[in-house]
Amino acid sequence: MANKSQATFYHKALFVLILLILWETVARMKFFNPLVFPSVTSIIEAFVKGVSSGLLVEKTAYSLYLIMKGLLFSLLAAVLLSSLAMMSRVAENIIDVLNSILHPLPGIALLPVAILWFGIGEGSIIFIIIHSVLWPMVVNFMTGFKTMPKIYLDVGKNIGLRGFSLLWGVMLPASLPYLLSGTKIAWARAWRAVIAAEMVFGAASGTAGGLGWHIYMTRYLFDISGTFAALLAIIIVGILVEELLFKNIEKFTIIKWGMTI
Amino acid sequence: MLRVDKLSKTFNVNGFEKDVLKDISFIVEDGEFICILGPSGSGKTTLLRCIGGFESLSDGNMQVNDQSISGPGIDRMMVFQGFEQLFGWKTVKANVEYPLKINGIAKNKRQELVLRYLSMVGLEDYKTYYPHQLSGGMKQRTAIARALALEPRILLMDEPFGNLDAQTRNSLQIELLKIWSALKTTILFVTHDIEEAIILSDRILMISGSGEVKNNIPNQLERPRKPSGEGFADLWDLLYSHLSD
Repeated sequence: MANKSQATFYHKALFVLILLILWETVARMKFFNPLVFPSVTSIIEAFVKGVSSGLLVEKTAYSLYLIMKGLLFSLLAAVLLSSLAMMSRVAENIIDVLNSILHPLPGIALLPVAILWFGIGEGSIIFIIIHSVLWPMVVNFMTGFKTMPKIYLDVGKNIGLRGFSLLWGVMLPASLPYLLSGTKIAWARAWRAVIAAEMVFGAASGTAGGLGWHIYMTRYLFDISGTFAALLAIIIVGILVEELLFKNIEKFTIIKWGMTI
Repeated sequence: MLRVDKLSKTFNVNGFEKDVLKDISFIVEDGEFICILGPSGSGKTTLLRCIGGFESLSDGNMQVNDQSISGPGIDRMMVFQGFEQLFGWKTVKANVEYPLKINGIAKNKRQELVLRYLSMVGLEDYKTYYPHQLSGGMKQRTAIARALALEPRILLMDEPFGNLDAQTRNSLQIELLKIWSALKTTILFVTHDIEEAIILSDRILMISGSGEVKNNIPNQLERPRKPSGEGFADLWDLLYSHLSD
């Protein structure tokens, strides 16, 4: 087992290393203008500078704060909506219609409306995040509830669970693989939403702005290494969350319980 | 005492009304072991699910000790055929303990009950296992322990050994009889296997293919019963002839 996961790590690391070497080679051969295609070394330099000056950390932290706020709210709302849909046919139909209308609408297309309603600032960004995240979560959660073995509900009712206790005691754990995959999709979608929204607003709200604004500004100032350093920050956060958070949650739940391979 | 009175159940199948159970009446005394025997599709499982409170009745009524049945309850615990009836996210111990916990049984008492019933089904060494680490027979044993720990008035068993190999099925039948003679819980056991019905029951309730009670046959063969024992073959022939016409 240890050997297998070690091998997996080496495969992945080797692949990334080759990519980096290719990138560096192309950059050093100056096929492209170094201003628009910076070398790996200059990106890393910009990254280290950004981290040590605290700027990159601050921007990342602000974007993450917005994401967490949006995600937490959406998680609760998605559990509520999808369990309502399981309990009542009317609720299911309403949620189905809402989903058909709202799911295909790109969050960024709603930004002008969001600005009108919530003003320029945190409120609008959170609104966009929630909109981008909620519907894929609801779809996944409902699939989870609907595909879990029906026998769990019978057993749950037999031992005396009803309503909320049935949701908490049986439906949520039984559909955890779907809850997790829905949350993973939501996490990725939240990043897209926050970066896009910040690029449009920037720091106009009086806040320092997050990574989206930072990416926009570094490009504006032609600090392309800085732009890539910000992208690197997103990638690193993504890898950390996947490897440390999601993989561990899976290891101690659905893998331990034999719900997935 | 369980009293089933003129029970009928109609399902809507692809737009057509289908009578699954018609005018079923019978009485089960406390402590009896009843096998419900019938061809596949005869509504045996539906009958058991009605008694369990999982299905609404189209007509008729059912009472346990003069109390009408309205929905599932811990006085009637069901053991299903499928192996996935155990909660996969709980260990064997937690699967048995959880129903006790949500029914407000104190921790000390819970531990005692869990241990008693897990040892009764021979799984005291598997407390920390998760269901996916158990064999099919062990899963059914755990499900039986979980149902018994709530000390139900009636144990409803829906072909619980149907997915097991012959050897495991035999040993579980013997264990079930041991448990039953120790606890004297009323058991309603659905099966389509004539031999199983003879080995286990005090009485065999035969359901016809059209969903009616066809026969209510007392089974007074001396226990333990073996296919080679006296009267076994005759009873088998009788049941077989009823099943096939």
